[in-house]
Amino acid sequence: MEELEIPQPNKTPEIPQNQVVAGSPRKTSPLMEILAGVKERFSSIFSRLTFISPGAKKALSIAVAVLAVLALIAIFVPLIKKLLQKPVEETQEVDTAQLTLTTKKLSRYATESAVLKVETDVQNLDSELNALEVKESKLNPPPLNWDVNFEE
Amino acid sequence: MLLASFFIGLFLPGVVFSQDEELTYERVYQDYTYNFDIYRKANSEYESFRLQFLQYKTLTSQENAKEATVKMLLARDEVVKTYLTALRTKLSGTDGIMDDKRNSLYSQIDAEVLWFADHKDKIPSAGTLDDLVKDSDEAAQYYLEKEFLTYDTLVTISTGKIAFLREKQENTLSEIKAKVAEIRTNGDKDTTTLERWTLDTEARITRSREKELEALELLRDLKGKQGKVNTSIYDQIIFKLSESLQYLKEANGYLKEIVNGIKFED
Repeated sequence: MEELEIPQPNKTPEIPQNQVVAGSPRKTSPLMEILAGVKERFSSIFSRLTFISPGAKKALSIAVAVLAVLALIAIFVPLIKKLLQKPVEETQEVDTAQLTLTTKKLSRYATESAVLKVETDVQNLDSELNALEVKESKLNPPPLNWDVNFEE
Repeated sequence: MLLASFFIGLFLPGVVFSQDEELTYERVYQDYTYNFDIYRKANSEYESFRLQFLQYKTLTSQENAKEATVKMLLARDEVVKTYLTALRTKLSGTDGIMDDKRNSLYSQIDAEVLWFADHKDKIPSAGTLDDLVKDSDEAAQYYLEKEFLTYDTLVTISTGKIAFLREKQENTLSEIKAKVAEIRTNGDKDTTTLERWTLDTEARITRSREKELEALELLRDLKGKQGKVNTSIYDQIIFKLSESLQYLKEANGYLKEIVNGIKFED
């Protein structure tokens, strides 16, 4: 005698494989919605392009997708890199010559009148050398007409 | 108060003298540019009346051309005179020139000014256009012969300016060397580096002098064929003198470092 299976009321029913069960609709993310929208747009555009073969259309859509991805990478990678970089502290330029001088101690000759005089002489000489114009441009010989004649 | 008056009295003559010299040069230079302006207008009129005469050959056009030529020749002689005077004044206000050279240039410039003054006096007595052409050719030939003098003076002024500052620099270097020697004797500071730096400075000054000599050697080639001055050689001379000045600037930079070396401890 075969035993009859009595359905148990508390047990959840087993769903056989390949059987589709209607349930509450899944929530799609906004990104997916945008992508779906873009896909739909593209497919509608492509469907209008009747003069292009389906194979070419596929290749074209792949090329467009690749280009879009590359564009996004080009935009976001430097942006992310910049965000990840630590802010560099601004360093003030320091005159090294001044630094070495100021950190050094003055010698006993620093205040000697002879040394101070020589220092002033060197500074004055510097101004004179920089102001010197070798060529007397204002005194270039005047351009004069020396060819006076009444011949044709 | 008395002390202040003494010091003012001590320095004032020098200041007044140099200002006077500068004023004199400025005035003479203005005189030259003013006369050059008159000449430019006169030359333009001469060109215009010359063309009219060549076109119409009338007595009126001939008379107009003659008048315009006289005006132009007079103005041209005056430009040469005032230009040479400006050049001479600049020469007299420039230090660092040997007396022999200065006096030689003075006498040559004075002679040229005198020549153009005489020539200018002769111009109005010319009776025909041909006479005026002869007068002009005479002046042209003389000016060409003396063109070298102009450039020689210009080179001398440029050389003098550099030589004057080099002499000052050498004096300062001597003072620095004496101070370094004194420090060495005291023995409270290592002077090895300072002594080496003074030698480097001396080498720069020597290079400056060598460049000046190279420039002066080129002066011989300045007079080209038929006495005409080769202006490209003049440019080369100025370039050599600029190099000479550059060495002095470098030497002065070294002097600054030596002074700092003296002022600070090792």
